[in-house]
Amino acid sequence: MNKRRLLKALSYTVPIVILLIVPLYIKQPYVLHVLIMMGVNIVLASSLRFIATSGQFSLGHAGMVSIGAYTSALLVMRLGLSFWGALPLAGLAAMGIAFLAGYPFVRLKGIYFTMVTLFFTEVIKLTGEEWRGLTGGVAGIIAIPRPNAIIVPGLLNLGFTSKADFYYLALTLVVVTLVLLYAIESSRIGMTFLSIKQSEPLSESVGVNTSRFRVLAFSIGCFFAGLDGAFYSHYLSAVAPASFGFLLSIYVFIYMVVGGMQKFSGPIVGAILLTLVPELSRGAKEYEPFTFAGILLLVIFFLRGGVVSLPERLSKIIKKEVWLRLKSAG
Amino acid sequence: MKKLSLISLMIMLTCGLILGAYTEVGLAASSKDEAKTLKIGVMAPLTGPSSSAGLPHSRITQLAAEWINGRGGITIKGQKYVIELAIEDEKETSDTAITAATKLIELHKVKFIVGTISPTLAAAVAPVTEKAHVIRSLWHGEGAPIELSPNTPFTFRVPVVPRDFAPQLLKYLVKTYPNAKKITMLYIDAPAAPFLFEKTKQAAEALGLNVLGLDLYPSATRDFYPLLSKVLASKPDAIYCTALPHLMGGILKSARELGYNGPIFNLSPSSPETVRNIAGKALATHCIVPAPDVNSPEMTPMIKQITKMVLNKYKECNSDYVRQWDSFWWMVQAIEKAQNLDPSEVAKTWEKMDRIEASTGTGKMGGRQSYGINHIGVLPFAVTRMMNGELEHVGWFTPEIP
Amino acid sequence: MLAQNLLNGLMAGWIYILVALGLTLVLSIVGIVQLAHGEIYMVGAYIVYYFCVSAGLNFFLSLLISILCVGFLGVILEKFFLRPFRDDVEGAIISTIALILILQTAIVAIAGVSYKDIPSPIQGVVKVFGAVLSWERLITILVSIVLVSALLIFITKTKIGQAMVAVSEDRVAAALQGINVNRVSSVAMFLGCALAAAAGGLTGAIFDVTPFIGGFALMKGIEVIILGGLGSIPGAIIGGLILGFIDGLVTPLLSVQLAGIIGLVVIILILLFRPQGLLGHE
Repeated sequence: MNKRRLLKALSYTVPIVILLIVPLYIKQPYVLHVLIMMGVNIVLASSLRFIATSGQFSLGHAGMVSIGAYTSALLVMRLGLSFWGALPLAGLAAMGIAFLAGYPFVRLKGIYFTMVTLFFTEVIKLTGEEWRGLTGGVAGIIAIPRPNAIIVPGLLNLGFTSKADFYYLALTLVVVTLVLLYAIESSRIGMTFLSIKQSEPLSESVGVNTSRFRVLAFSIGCFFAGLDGAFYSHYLSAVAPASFGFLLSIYVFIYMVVGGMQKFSGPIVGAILLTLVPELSRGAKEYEPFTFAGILLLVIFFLRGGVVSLPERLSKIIKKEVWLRLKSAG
Repeated sequence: MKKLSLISLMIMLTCGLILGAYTEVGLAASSKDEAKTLKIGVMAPLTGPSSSAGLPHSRITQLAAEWINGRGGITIKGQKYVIELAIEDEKETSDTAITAATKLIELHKVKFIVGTISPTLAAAVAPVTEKAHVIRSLWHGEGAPIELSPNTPFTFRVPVVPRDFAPQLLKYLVKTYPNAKKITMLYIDAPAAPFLFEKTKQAAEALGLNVLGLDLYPSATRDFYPLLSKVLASKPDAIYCTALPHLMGGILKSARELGYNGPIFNLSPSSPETVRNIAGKALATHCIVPAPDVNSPEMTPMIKQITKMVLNKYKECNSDYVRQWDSFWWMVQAIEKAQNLDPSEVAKTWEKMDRIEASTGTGKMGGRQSYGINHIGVLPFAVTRMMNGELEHVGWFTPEIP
Repeated sequence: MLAQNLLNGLMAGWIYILVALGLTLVLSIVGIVQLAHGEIYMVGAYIVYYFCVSAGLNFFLSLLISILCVGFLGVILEKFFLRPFRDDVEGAIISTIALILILQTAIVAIAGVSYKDIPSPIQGVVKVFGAVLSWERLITILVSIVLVSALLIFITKTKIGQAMVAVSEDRVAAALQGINVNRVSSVAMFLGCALAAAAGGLTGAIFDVTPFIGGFALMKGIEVIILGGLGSIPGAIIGGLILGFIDGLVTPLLSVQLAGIIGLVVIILILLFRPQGLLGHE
């Protein structure tokens, strides 16, 4: 194995090993809670970016999370399914609805598509509030059971009574999501999405059915939002329509843009940093929004590519300085 | 290759930050033990639409804590304790409430919490606090079993709630408006609404009143004309509502504009000043709410003192502040009576207390029959009536909570 | 009874129109979906409250002051927070969200979170066709009609108005014709924010004023635009009236819950068969 391959393999495995052993050193349940929420946000931000690779900005993610959360809770509590069966079904439910809604939505371009997805979040929220028989109305559903225990004699005993078990589940969800999203993005389908983003008319002219691909991108992204929703509802044990308002859609969007949309790692970085901001701010809670707004403005005015573009930006600035120095010296 | 090493870097940086935060908290925790403070948690909506009630509730708790500490704190088995509050913002939804409760229990390590306004959020948080054996003193409720029952042995509620205001307010109607025979109800759309309606209907029919029906409205309603057009068509003699202050103001104003002149009652303890201000002085008449007019000379000496403290510090005061003094004070009195910091012991003591000092007089615990568990506060409450834009203190009532 | 419901619907409709018109002006001419439009509406309400209650001025004067102040505030915001992101969807969304946070938190810090009320200019009610309307509601309808008519006259009869139409149809072509797109943008923003402030002040007298009334206004504005037509001014008027009448008529006849659902179902149906809205062009 040559050196390059070795380094590449290490850069994958070392972080994963570190993440795996975190709960052995950090026992504080609240810290684990923050890490779990980071994982939830990473999945949401990355799947939103996936949709954005096809040139579409969706503000409908909150609605998709809601669908996943309710589907899973209802399947487990009303139909007696195991959490492990309900989880993929929740993702598929979100995907299905995204698919159906997608066809009329993709007839709209640009900002209009975004507005319609925002409206859609509102529709889902209102449905949750009014369809009492199904969703429990405004109060939502409480006392959602934990995931069924995984017991492999001698190897694993995850009863999901401790935060550490949920941490591992969240970690698995994150890794699976990122691997799948990366795989699709690097594939031919991913290339097609990019071509649609760059120029829809041009793609059409070479025979790409842009509508179909846009709906596909939208549906796949929403699938992962649905999965995330299912995890969320069984972790927190309560869901209500108000938890999934347009503010959530907007936060996920912010994680994506602040982290940086051009690179795959952007949303991951954005989600990690912005989940931490509320935790680290010590001042009066009422003024926290000002800090948040400040970060947003800083990014869009000075660091348009997001936090991940910082190294590149800095190196460009440094190179320019060096070159100028050399020029004036010689 | 480059992007993955960036991810690794970020992840390690994050872990470093978290480890740092963890150790910092760890150190802080140990120093607390030496100072002998008793940390009590406070959960309230500090941001968002409910903060108009949440902020006053949180503030009065801080004042009460300062007052108790000023009198020497509390003494348990000879050891003096100073009360320190850990305040978390529960925001608006069940997930943010659960996060706030989790933070209080796992980060601040409290065993006693005052909090949660919305009954829905209280029910969502219950599994978390009950499992951790943390005593909760609720700020509000509607009176339904899902909020408080034998299944929630660590949950208590001091302030009187709509279910227990109702019988007294109905008796007041019969006494003061003897010609009113047909009443209708207009409740905020909440899960406890059907239960509350059943109980109130029973009480009303027992007094010989005829209940026309129930209408539910979403909590986001601003324009009441459409709904009231429908409600008033059945020509009720009196209307009973559950409503937050601004909603009550809107209902009162719209009902009067549409030509309705009968009495309107709120079963929820909304601040009479706010209701009056929103409805406008001209239309604020024959409206009765189970909340104190803090400026009335009929207030108890203690309420007058509390009002002064609040005005001093916050330049404003209304029943949203004053009403929640006892939620906190009763819990502290229970801890002191139990002479024990173990929640199980405090709970056992609290539910037996039959003479507790309150800002409104003297009270006791009740509810064994009607709620299944003796965790409900039985204490005098004030009723205020708006007449021609002026507030008049109707009197002090004591609820019957068997 | 029917007359009452129709009047209720009419008033609701005109408020929606005021908000939606402002939103669509900014959307089609400035080129940004102004998510902070609801907060502009809210700030308008607070300025009217301040001048009416603290300074003791006449309601209509306060309303005029608010319209002018908020209009100019809008022009400043447009130059620094919106114009840089004209063709940059993500940037626009983030920028307007930052505006929401800043405006809302600023008002909370200055005015507090307690419910405020703007006193009505004229007390009492008016009987129209057997139905009852408070003076504030009647004034709201009348003022809205006046403002919208003024806007329509401005757009059709003045040079800048026509320039606005040109920019909304094709910005590049308009620039090629010699139209100063930036100036037109500012004017559109002024008008849009002025309408929102008017709506805020008028509803503040009917209902209550808190820092959180903006979200509802924004959502209604978006619904009206989607229904009536993206980028269409007549569409905003028709969409607003339709939604207003649904809210006014369905509630008393059926129930409050159904009114919300029917409104959304109507919009969804329109989206399925005509995604650009009733009168939209796309």
